[in-house]
Amino acid sequence: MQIDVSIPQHVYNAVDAPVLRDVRFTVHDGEIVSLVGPSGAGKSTLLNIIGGLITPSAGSVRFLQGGAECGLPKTGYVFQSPRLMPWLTALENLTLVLPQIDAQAIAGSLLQRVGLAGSEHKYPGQLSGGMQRRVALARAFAVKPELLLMDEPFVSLDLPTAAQLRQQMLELWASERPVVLFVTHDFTEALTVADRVIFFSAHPGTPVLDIPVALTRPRDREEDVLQLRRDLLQRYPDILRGTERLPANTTTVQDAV
Amino acid sequence: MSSRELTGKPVPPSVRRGSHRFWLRLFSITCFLVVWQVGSIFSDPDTLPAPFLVLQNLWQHLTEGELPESLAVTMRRVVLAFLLAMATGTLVGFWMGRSRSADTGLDSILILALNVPALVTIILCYLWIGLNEVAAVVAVAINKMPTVVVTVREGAKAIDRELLDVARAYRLSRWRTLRYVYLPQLLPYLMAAARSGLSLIWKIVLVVELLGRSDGVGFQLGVFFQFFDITSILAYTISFASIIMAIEFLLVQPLERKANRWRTDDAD
Repeated sequence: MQIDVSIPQHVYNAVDAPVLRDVRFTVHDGEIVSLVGPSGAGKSTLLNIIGGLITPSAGSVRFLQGGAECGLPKTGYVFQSPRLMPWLTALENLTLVLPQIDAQAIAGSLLQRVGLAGSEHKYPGQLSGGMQRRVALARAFAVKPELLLMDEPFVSLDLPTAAQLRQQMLELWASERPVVLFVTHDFTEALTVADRVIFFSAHPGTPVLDIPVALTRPRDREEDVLQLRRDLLQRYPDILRGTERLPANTTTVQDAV
Repeated sequence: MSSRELTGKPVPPSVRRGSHRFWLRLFSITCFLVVWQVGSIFSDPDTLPAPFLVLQNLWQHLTEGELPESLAVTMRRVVLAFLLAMATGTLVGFWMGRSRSADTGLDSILILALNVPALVTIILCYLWIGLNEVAAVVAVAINKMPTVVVTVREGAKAIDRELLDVARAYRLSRWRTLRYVYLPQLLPYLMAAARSGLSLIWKIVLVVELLGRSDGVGFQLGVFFQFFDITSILAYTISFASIIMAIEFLLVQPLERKANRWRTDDAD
């Protein structure tokens, strides 16, 4: 599946300044793309548009299957907060999004895979923050997504827990290989996870740099990631503040790595 | 309509309730009876009969009188009016809570409806619909409905947008969204509406019966009023109040506990 994003402009209402401007990029089959940028870059808004929760005020998002346009793909969505239904158990939160007969079995095995065996019948209020996020991650993979949208899914977790969850996410991803759009403000995290990183400027959000990450998986060696980060920051010193304005054709730094 | 649709085995509720609560309730009821008994000693038995006399009278009405029949007739009206008020009130309240234009458009009518005296509604219903069963039930339901609307509207306004986005992102069916996303959030409000509804409705039903029906508890109370039969009035009141209390303790409260099962959070 391929996704063509073409949003010349998105405003919430006519009087406000646009949230997004000139957002045009294509995501290819099986790609993990990180969207990195300062807060106010409209990354979450963009994710909501791609997920069909918001209609853009101009432009469109098209999904292509074998060159032909198809409808909205099966989507898994991991939000910034776990957003579980507090009145449903961990297992019920997964079966809620699964209409099929064998929902129980699928949900049970996914919870097991994220290390929540034994907590299936607990309510979110009885789970720790990290466990709730695991349920949310399992829920996203439960629907066997063709498209996985993640909005800072590991934010406000302690470092080991975040690393462990990232690892589990990549393992789950490896078996189905959905297209992943991954919003983060953590540059290192983006380089650890993504095949490609798109940097955004803020107010309005516009992609300013689009680079492939030419590191092999698994990216176990932390120093490789950090080396790449150093190289990139040397070459684009202002990129994380989103102030770097680059001509459209300097979008590859493969020679830098 | 149970969570069994989602998982085979729901978690057993581990709601432990202290037995001291039971004794506290018993104590307050005993105090009430003692005060009543003492009061009856210092007054004429025709004005304030002793609890024992009232119970004796209640037994008589139950075994040889028309009390069971009156209770059945009145309960039927209570249940019908309750269901009618809850159903219409919930629909309108939900609509007003979710749609800003419906809220603005209907708000002044709602304020009007909240402030029309019960007696006026009852008389108008009898005059417009006729002195019949339909008018009686409708009159009671109309009295209750506006408060249901107000309560449910608050609930519908407080629906968590973020959880609705989850339902939309995962493309849940309309039914699942309603059943598993909206309803659990509305439930506390529906419970509050049902509770206050029950107590309001049975009071109004009696007035409706007194004014325009020839059977039921309200009609009988009217008859006892003519004969100044205070003992029977108290006996009837006790019988009806205990039924309402039984509904509260045996139906409403267990339902509420079941609905709040997930709130027993002992997070680690």
